[in-house]
Amino acid sequence: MKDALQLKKEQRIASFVYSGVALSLLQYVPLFDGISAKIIKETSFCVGLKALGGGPARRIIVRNGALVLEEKERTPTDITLLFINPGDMSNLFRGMKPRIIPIIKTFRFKAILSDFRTLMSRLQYFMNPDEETLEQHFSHITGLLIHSALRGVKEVAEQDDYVKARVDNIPDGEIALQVAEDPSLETRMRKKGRFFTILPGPWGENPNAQLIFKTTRAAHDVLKDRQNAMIALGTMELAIRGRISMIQSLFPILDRLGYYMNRKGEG
Amino acid sequence: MEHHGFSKSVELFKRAAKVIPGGIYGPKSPAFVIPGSYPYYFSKGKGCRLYDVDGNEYIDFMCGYGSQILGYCYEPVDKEAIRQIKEGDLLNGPQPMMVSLAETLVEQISGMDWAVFTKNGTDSTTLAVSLARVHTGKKKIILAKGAYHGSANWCSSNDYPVLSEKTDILTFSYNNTEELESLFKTHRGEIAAIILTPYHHPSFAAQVMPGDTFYPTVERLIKAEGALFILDDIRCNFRLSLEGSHSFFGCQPDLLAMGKSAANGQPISILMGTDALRKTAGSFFITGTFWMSGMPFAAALSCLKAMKELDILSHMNRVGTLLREGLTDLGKAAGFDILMSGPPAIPFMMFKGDEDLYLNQIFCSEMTRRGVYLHPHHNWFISWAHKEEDIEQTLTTAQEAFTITAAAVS
Ligand SMILES: Cc1ncc(COP(=O)(O)O)c(C=O)c1O
Repeated sequence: MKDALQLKKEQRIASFVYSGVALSLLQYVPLFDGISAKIIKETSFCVGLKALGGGPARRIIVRNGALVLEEKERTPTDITLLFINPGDMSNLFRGMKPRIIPIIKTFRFKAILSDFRTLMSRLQYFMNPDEETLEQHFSHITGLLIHSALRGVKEVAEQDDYVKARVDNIPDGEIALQVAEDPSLETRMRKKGRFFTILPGPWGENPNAQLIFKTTRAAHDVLKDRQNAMIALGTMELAIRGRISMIQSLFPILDRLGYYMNRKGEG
Repeated sequence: MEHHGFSKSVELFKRAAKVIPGGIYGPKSPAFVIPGSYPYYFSKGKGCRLYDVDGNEYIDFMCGYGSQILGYCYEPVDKEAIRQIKEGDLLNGPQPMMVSLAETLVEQISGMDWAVFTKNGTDSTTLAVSLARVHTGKKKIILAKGAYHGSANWCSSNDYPVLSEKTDILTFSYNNTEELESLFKTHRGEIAAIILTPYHHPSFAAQVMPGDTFYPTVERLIKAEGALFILDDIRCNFRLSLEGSHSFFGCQPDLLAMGKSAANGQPISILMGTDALRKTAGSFFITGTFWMSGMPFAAALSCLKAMKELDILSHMNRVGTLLREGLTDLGKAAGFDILMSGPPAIPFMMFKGDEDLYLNQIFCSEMTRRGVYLHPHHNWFISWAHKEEDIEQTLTTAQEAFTITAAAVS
């Protein structure tokens, strides 16, 4: 049995991972989804999400036809969704019913909440697509998966004690995830000291290390865990170049990421 | 020139992928080289020549990751090994050769008074660490960042919270005596041993020789702490000195782990120690079903004899120096500043300013596709079987590979 303190700690980190991944992905959905695009074009709001007990506090801002994730509590909110504990915040992103205390600062709150819910459900729709949706938006969905993996790494590397203690062993620099047949999917992760930044590409300058998927299909299958990365390397569906040790140092982080994403029923 | 193709390797890998997790595990995984330019599966070797399943031939500079110090299928050693197999390899207990091998090693290896035998290098380094802990009654082990001491959980990259073996492992940057002093100070009274390779040979980086003050500092610190000095000579084994690599650097370990080349590729690893540790080793439970099989002892005795008689060290130094100088000159002619690191018999090449190894990956791939197996991320090995003609052929190929590498950057 895990002790209560450890369980709390893991719940807290899981809430960073779930909210970090989902809210950052929200930014990309309107770029290809008509329903989301229409919402952000026609309205503006700031929704805050905050978990008590040391969980994340993040804001989604819809303004001037764009949606951005704000990592700090800076922009005044129209409504704040306050979660009693981090586990409840994770539940929101895991499709379970969380306990929320809404702090309302505008009479438009019903409309805002409805829009926010629609944006979230559109993301869920693309993250768990049916065959037809997958075919139709294959490249975009793969893009979401790439971003999701890197963002997950960032959250774990910045929050998990075990990984944090080893982050110094990863040299500072940039890793690029690329898809040879679709350069628009390039996404980079920059590591500097203890912090990780995700940068949408494509970029000019040489990264320190590259993971290059031959096809969008290969990227999709590896990121969806339908294909093992080591096998994809051997069959040349995936290539790694440059500072390979930097890529190797991501494996234990990905392992921890899998751990947090697969925690069942613990919030 | 026709380039090597690897279709059979890839086919085998696809079959393997279904029944072996990851296809090929460990550092022999395709992930460690450049798929498309390297074979995955091999069929045979002879001398310094290696053949893959697609029928491609290579001048090989990996020597079975160092183990083939006399070359593949070196007749006198193989003859002894085969004779022993025919007489019975694994019996109910050891054969007389086990005693002879221990006697030979105690006589040959500087400052070591006893020997025990295991199968892989990991067995010996892990045993050394256990003996050091039991002997000193302390737990902490110091090792250099990036150093490889085997696949056991205490030292490998298997790093999961649920595996607790790393709890008492402390690390420092190689050659950084200040960091080392500070570790000894912070953990005074807790340190069982420091384990070091004779010089630093990390993967993905240039090799580093010990600085002038390094070993004297190590010896001073362990003495003051009452800790032990374990030398992991597994990779350098007999490529620096036939008396143990510590005699090359003028230091004296308490425990010495050897392996890889001791029996020219036959499976045996050795742990030697000083008299002070004899009692601890004598009462420690040391065993493995195959650890006393006779064939590797026969091979080791024959290999040790051959290494002495052939004066392999001066040969490997001469040939390795030819390779090192040749590559440096050819690289320069192609516009590169070449960084050769490590001793002549264990060289590694990098392009100055290419810490990410992009150029190494291009150069070594082009070499391998043309029949000279050079690893882009791991140090290389010279053997007795590498002759001047092989170096000449290697350098001829290198000229072409440098030209291609230069074109790729321009
Ligand atoms: C320095 C060093 N120590 C230990 C080992 C582990 O030896 P083995 O692979 O035989 O277990 C190796 C193997 O490459 C090595 O190079």
